[in-house]
Amino acid sequence: MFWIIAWRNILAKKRRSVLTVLLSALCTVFLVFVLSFMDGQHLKMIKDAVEIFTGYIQVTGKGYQDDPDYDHLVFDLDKVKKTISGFPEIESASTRFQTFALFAGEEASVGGSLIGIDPVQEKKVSRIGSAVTGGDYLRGGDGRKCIVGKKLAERLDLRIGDELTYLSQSVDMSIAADILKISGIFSTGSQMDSNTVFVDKEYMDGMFQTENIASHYILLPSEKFRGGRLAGLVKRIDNKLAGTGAEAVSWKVPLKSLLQLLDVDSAFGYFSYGIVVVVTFFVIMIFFLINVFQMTREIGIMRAVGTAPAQILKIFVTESFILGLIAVTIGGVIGGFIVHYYNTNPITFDVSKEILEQYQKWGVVDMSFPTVFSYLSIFYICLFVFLLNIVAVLYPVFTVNRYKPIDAIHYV
Amino acid sequence: MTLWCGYAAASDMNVDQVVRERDRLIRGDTSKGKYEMQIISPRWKRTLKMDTWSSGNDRSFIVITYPKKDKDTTFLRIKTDMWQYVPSIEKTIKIPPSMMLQSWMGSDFTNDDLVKESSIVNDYTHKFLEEAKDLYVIESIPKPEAPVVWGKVIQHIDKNTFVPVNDEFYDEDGTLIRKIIYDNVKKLPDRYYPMKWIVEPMTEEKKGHQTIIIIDEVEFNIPVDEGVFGMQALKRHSR
Repeated sequence: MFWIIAWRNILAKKRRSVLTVLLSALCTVFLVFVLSFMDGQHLKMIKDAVEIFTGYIQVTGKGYQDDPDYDHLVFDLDKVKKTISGFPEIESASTRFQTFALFAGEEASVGGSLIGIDPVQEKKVSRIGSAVTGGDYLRGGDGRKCIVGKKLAERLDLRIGDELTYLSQSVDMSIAADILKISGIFSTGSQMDSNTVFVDKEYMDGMFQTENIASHYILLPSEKFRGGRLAGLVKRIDNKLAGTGAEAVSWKVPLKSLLQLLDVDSAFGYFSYGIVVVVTFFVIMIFFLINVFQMTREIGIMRAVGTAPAQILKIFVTESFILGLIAVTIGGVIGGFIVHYYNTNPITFDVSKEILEQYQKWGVVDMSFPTVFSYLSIFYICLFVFLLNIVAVLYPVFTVNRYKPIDAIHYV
Repeated sequence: MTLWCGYAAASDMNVDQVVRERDRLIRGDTSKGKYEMQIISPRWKRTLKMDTWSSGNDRSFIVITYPKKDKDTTFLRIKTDMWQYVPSIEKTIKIPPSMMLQSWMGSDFTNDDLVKESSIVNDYTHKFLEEAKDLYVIESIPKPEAPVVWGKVIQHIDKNTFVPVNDEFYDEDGTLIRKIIYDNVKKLPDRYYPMKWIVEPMTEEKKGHQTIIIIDEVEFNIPVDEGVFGMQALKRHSR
């Protein structure tokens, strides 16, 4: 009965009904798209930062994440490796020794990071190997060969084959200095390009006395442990490492500042999109308000013949239910298609080098952003807009229900 | 305890004169010396030996003489610029501003300490904090535009000899970051001088670290070869 009355109401006011559906559908499409785009942007920044170099799980000396100095290294790497080998969830692992160094070319000198890596294993846990854009990546047993960040090479005016001097301190605090030969240039698009040099860790062990010592042991878990199950795995690894002086943390610890930045960005995003939602809500409510007040006399007659206020409410809520359902179905499907398209064909912004450099400071590697396609997210957004429609009808109906039937009948 | 307001009741010297006298006494117009530096961390203890020369507040030169691995490494400082010569690679490297806050040779001194130490006289406003029997206790607050890293320095200076007893270095939030204790005061021909300096970082993350400087020999206000403060000296003294 209510369904029939509600449906007749909808058909009787076609123009208003179409406008309400259109507005709600557009709001749904907008929210599905912008939220998927924002999530896509954030996910890409995180994935880039994690996979370029940070890694999903870092094993370091206890306290290293807060104080990355020589007091907080992994001092028994073999023991840590043995512990980690007991986790079948870990697909690959690689050792690093990272330290601060002064790099000098012929004229200039700049401070940066000198990182010893296991060239073969490193390729499995990060994108450094594939980021070599000129010359050769390290092969293992490379001695004094190094690969240098593209911008660092430019700052020091160095090319492949040139010599690069570094000055640093070995773990016993004695001077560690040598002349390296540049075998390759890498470009990740991140800030590493302007301050990092990679060498073979085996070479570094000799220069820095880091035999069986590491600053990081980077772990790559199997695919299914890289998302929601990562935290549990990290906790189990960390528990097993008790007594080794080492600890395991997920990428969320070293990338804490990036996450904070993304939280702030999300807050701004939600605020902006919230304004759109509020405007949509009030427009829908005004439509219903006009509709309900146009029907005040009919409502008065219905009340006079014994229809209860709750039944009046039920009629309008049912109307809103039908309109909302049609709107979010249309909006959800269109929004879903758009998001799916841009998920496989990322949105690419053509920006100047200067602007790109600004973005790179915040972890953006390039300006191509795929949206995130998630049925669940689309469903939640549809549900939200649908509920918005239902809530929008409550105030107009409560207002008109306050009239006495006789006043409603005489309402002009 | 009496609060002093700019002038010492027990002497005619004002606070600036006391600080300047303490600085003059520690540095001299010129100096030449042999130092030993013990660097203690929770994991290592390391000893460095060095010969040093200085002229005024602006120029100093250091040659590492021990251990063998770092022997003949030289450092030259002219005003706020610093160069290091590393014999193993036969290279002179200028320390860029970005490395000024790095530890010097693994000690609890930064490169910036070596370069900026002279600013205690000019970059800070000083006032007497309290009167102890034998001590001046002076609070030094950086001048608004001064390029310094500390938020406050408290100096304890012996009233009779102007030898520093200890210095406390605070950050801008008033947290004690580092303490230098001066010990083993010896009478030299023209001054009293602390022959042992103990540098103690006071922060939790630097717990267990300590740097001890033992002055084996030091002479002040003697003629110093000007050539020692030239770029060529870096390589020449390295041999």
